[in-house]
Amino acid sequence: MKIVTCLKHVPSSAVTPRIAGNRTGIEEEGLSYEVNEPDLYAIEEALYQRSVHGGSVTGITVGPARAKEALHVAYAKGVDQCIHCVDDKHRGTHPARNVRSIGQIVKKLDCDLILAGIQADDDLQGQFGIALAEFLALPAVTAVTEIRANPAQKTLTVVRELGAGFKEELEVDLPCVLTIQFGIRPLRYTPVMAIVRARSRKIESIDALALSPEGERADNPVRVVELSYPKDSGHCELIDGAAPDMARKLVHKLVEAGVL
Amino acid sequence: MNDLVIPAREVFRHFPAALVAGFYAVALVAMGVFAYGCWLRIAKYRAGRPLQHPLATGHRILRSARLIASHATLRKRDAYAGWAHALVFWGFLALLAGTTIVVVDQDILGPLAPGLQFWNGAFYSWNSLILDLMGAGMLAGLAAMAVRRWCFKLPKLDYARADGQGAQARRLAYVRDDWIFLGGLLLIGITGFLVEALRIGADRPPFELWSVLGWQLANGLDALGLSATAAGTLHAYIWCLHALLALAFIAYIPYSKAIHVLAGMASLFLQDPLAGKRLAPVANDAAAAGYRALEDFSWKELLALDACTKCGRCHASCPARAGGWPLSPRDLILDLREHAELALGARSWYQRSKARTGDRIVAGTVVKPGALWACTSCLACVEACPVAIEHVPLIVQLRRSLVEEGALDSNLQGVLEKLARCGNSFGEPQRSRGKWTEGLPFRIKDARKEPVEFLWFVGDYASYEPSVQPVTRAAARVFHAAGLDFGILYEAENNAGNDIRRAGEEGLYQLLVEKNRAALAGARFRQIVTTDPHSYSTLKFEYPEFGATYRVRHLAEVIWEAVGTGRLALKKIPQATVTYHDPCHLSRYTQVTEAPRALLAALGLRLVEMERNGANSFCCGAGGGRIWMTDAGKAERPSVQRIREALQIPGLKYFVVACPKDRSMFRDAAKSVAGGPEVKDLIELIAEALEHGPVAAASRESEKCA
Amino acid sequence: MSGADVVVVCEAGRGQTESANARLIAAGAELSARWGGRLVCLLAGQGIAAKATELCGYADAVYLAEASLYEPYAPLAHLKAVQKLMDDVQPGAVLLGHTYIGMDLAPRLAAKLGVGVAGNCFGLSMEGDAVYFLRPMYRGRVQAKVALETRPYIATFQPGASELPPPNRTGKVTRLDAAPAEGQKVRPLRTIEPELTGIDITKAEIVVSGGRGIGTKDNYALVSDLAEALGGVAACSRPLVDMGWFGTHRQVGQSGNTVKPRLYVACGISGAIEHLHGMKESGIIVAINQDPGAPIFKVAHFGMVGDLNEIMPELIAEVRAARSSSDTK
Repeated sequence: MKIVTCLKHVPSSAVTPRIAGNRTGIEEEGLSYEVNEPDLYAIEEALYQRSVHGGSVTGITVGPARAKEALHVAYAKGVDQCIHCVDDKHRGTHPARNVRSIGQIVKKLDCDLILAGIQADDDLQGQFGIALAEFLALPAVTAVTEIRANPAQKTLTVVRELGAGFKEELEVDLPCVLTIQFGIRPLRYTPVMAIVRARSRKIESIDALALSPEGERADNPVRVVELSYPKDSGHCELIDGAAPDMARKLVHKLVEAGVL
Repeated sequence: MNDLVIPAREVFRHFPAALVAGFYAVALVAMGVFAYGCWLRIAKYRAGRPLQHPLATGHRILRSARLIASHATLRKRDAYAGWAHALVFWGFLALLAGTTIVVVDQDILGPLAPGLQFWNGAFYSWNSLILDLMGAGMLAGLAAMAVRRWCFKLPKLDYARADGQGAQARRLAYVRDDWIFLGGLLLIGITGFLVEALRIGADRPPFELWSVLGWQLANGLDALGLSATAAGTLHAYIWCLHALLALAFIAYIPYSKAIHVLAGMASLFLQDPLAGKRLAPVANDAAAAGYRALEDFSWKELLALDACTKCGRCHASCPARAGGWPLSPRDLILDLREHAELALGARSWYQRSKARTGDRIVAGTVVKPGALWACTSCLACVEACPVAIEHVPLIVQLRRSLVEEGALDSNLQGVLEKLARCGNSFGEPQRSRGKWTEGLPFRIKDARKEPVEFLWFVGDYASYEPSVQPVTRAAARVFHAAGLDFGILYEAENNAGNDIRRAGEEGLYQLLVEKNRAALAGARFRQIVTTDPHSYSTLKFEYPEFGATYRVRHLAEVIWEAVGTGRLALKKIPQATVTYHDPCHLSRYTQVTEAPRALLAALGLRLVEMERNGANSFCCGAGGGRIWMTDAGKAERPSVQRIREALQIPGLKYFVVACPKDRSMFRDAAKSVAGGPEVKDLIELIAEALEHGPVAAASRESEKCA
Repeated sequence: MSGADVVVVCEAGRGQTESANARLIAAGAELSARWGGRLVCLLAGQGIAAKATELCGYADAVYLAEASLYEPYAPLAHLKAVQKLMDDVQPGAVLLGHTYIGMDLAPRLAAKLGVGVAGNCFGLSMEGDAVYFLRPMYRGRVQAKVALETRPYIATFQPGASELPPPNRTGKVTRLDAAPAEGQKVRPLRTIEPELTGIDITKAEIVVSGGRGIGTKDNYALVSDLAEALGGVAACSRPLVDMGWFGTHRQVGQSGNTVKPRLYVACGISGAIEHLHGMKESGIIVAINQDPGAPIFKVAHFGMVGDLNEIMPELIAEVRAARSSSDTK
């Protein structure tokens, strides 16, 4: 099966980014980036399907020059080929352009399956997979937690989450787009040496502007007016001291509050 | 008979020519079989890759000759086996020499230079005497070994697998091999003496009094009623039997346990004294890290596999095995050996792998991940092995290939990710590394900003683990009270990487080394002192390869030096019976066993050793990345077993440790044992002494420190 | 946008999340009031006529698409129902819940219409003529006020928080004809119901929950011990379910259960948005985490920064002591 998996290079989830002076973006300088976690699950699943059904896995990302690090991780994990759509202008933050860029690249790849994580940790929209499917006129299923492929019949049986503990089993025709939910299978460790070795592997580079110049006129339909830090609900009382003191104080407060 | 009887004998006494010819023919065949077997073995070794560093053969010859001659590695902690083996070894060598003398004299000098023949006269007599005595010694040794094997029921000779897998049949094959070897040698020895006795009984040449035992045996046979002629006839038969046995034994050597004779000596010759302490890095251009298949092994490692005699010392000393994990260093070596036999084409009669294919891949298949991850890299196996097999480097190489595949314990995975992000295994921010210093009544110098004599490399656990921080502060107070000019790197310090390297994540290790190297290069100091044995050993042995070469010592060594030179006076603390647990990385790795003991004595404490102490110390179970792994063994934890060992000391007050991980592990273990002793760090005791008593005997000039 | 109607896609019935409805209706009412248009509600499912009637008290019109093909959620069928409604109503905005249905349906609708979506919103801000949507970004560490440049507005709102006001409208129910989507490349096979384990953490008054910070499965005993000491139930966040320690019946979060106990103790839980969705309305929230910057502290009432392996045993002991002393009173 020829599988394409879409990744996004996002700010590290362990740090709070600094808001830029104009308050409509964040300071990229000095910020550490990582592969969007749901996309890691998508890669893991793609590699698993390759190990069962053979074929190849191609990783694609849209983003500025630094986004190639995401593809290094993909190579380190075992992806066969990586394509970087270089977008220095919008830096991978313009959803419609991302879809168009990746969509045009994928169209030429003639693949069976396209995977992406359920949402990107930076914009938390969860739109990309569906928008890509719409662009490519392919069926899409979101929040997938299990895939059983029947490449011979050109179908897949997938299980998707419905919420409240409910799940649904569906049959989907190939080619299709699936967005992968957390935990589809355990993420394997990527050794540092593998990443070091991956840095010397060739990544195919395509310029986003060259790919779709007419899209330049399209503004981002979701415009950030202002960024701010969430206000502390103000009601968090931090209890300090050594562990026994903390415990005693908390129990006291809970008794006072009538909960205990 | 002549008047002038020259001591000598006719080798093929009264044998028909056909028999002699037959003997030579059989001998030739036997040699051929032996050579073929050796050739197969050598071919097996050649399947391995070349060594990374050239061998410095010069001093090795002397070193290994001394080791082998003295049997030091065999006699260590097992005098019985050591001396018995020495008897067998030297006896066999003597007899081999004796046979060689005959061959040279009769088969070479005889036809080619009869005038040079020497096996006669006084030489002959002395030769006979010595061989008789040595032969008897060999038999005595063999008998002692037989008794040991049959009667002593030693646990280390129990071949049952640590992981409970596999059929018994193969193990019985080993037992058969053992008895054939032992029995074979015994029979050869006995028939040898019998041949001698029969010959002497038949001819009674007077000079054969020199063959003391042979003569007495001949008398014995006489007494049993054996006539001279009968002896003469019997002699031929027993001679043939002896010859067949001996030749069969020679032929059999490369196909059996007997290969250890050659492989063991070769292994001792090739021994790396820093095995396990200084691991081999991964080549920059390597396609993959670590050993996955047999051809990744070096020829030395493949050879070492053949040196194993299943003596069981590694098996008995391994804490993972004792804790019920599926790891036995012995089984590891045997599994690899058997698989190598199958896959690389050597042939042995008694070691057959159960694998159906000769597939050369071993990581994760022949050696299971559960076994590999159980290792604490304590080096007990390497230290105990009499034939210098280096188990731990193999385990690390195999682990490296598992890490390549990303197949790790999930907790370990999380820790490695934290280390990559923050430089410490706790996932704590790097900038709070120096927070433990808050609350000290003095400021600790920042070695990045001002020059210091001693750079104190604090270590992860000591910096971040709340239960260990009091000891770290005590150490700071010791430094201070001892008047040492010291500083730390604060947040520029990263985990030294020792356990990460041993967990198989070489890339992350090199990343950490590079960070530390840069931090050390940017600081000004004369020498490094540590309170963390794990950091100590990697800084000392492994960092130089990456360009960071410094003098590294443990705080105990520095304090003892100060006490020993009179610069520092330690007040005695209240008397108590204590025992000292040598940390693996302080005893086996860096061999610092004296300073802590000297300090305990100087403190006025009564030290009673546990049975396993010094280089034979029993690991707490936290090394090699184990402290970050979650799988439990089937038996009691090694740390609990160790506490029980300590509790055998009557009136024990303190269980003294000198490593932060030991402290954590043993405090935890002591809680689960009724009447568990109080676990104290050596540094805490020194701090007590320094703070309650007079401080420096001399002034606090930092220059006076060594 | 005067006179523009607002459509809110509410949920009801099996497999749907009703807890989003309140906030949707509140937001929809606010927006439609500003625009002077109607608040129109869409319900698609099976056996939900009663809910439709109930919603008439909050909306000016309720459109009901009731047929078996809507249960469980069928993306294309639901999409078709929304589009049909939009053909009739021509709304200025379509609001959905940020539930599994909303997260799937909203982008589909937006892609079909070629407009933008503001997803995962927790609020609405109307400043003058402008309408801004308030939503989280960067794992919730930053908040954004966004404007949608395209019409109609499509936005999804986080469940919970608001309670429905007293009914103040009198809408009528209009039935929509169910129209199956053609050319199905995605064919449902079966619905997998959650396992009936008899454990319903949503009913508990006290919940003690463990997250990734717990470390090892054995260590989870700290959570279950504390739960027992407090007389509550033990739960967990998604990562522990992904690791196979528990089933979703114990999970608190968007893909698990939403709980509203009197006391919620989060141990070693960082407070990812999806988890907060499931517990942020608890009476008193206590958080124990070694990272002082963990988002959980933003919703907690009491926080303890430290090593839960040190804190929790002490806490268990204190709780036991407190309860036994109160027992003897």
